[in-house]
Amino acid sequence: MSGLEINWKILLGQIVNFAILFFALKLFVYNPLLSLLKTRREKIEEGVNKSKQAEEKLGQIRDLKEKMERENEAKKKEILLKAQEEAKKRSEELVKKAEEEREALLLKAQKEAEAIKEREAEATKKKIIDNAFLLTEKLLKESIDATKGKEISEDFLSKIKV
Amino acid sequence: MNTEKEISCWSRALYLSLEENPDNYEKIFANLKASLGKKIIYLPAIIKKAEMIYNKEKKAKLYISHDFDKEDIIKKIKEKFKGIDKIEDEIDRDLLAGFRLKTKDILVKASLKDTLIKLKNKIYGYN
Repeated sequence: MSGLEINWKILLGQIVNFAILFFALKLFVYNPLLSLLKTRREKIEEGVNKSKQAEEKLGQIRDLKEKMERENEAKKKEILLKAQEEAKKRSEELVKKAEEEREALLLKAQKEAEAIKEREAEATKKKIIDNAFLLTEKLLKESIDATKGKEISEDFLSKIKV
Repeated sequence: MNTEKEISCWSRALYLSLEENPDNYEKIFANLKASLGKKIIYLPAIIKKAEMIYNKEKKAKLYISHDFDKEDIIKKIKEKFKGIDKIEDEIDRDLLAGFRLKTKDILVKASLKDTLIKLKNKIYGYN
């Protein structure tokens, strides 16, 4: 069994070598690698967080955009409705004004027509009276002679009171 | 006062005095001569002007419609309107019948024409 004997010196040396290698690896490889992995993981987490935040913000922006679009649409409808109402109102006002003007013109024309009618009637009446008096004067002039004229003069004179 | 104005004043005074006391004309003239003094040369002008005033005040114009005998009417007019001495007459056929008498102060409208005018104005509503 001489070939399978444990050489305690070699074993101890191997153990020491292994321990030294272990500490050296831990100090120069494992710890920096761990730190690197930790940093990387943190960065990845940060990136994931940022991505989530960005997603959330994007969602918020989308919501806001939709909200604004809805509001704009409502505003647009409101403005359109308002404009339509205003236009309708103005149209009604214009129609009303035109109607009033038409009525005023009609009334004025009626009044003028009545005035013309009255003036014509008055002129006709005056003409009839004038003609009647002219005729009367002519008849009297023809029918009254000197004798009658004297009688009438005396009659007028007798009625004069001084 | 200029001469013409002075003569007018004396004429008016003479006319009024004679109108008030026609019987005392001699005394009136004597007073006038005394008052005039050196201005006695104005006397003819004063008398002429007084005559003009008399004619103006006492004269009337009668417009009649026909040429009839108007002596009766003139007589009656003189009786009714005191102060008219002289009446001039003129024919105006437009009066139709009746007369118009015009003095210095008044106008008497007594014709058919005037009656018709009055009636016409009444119809028109002018009165």
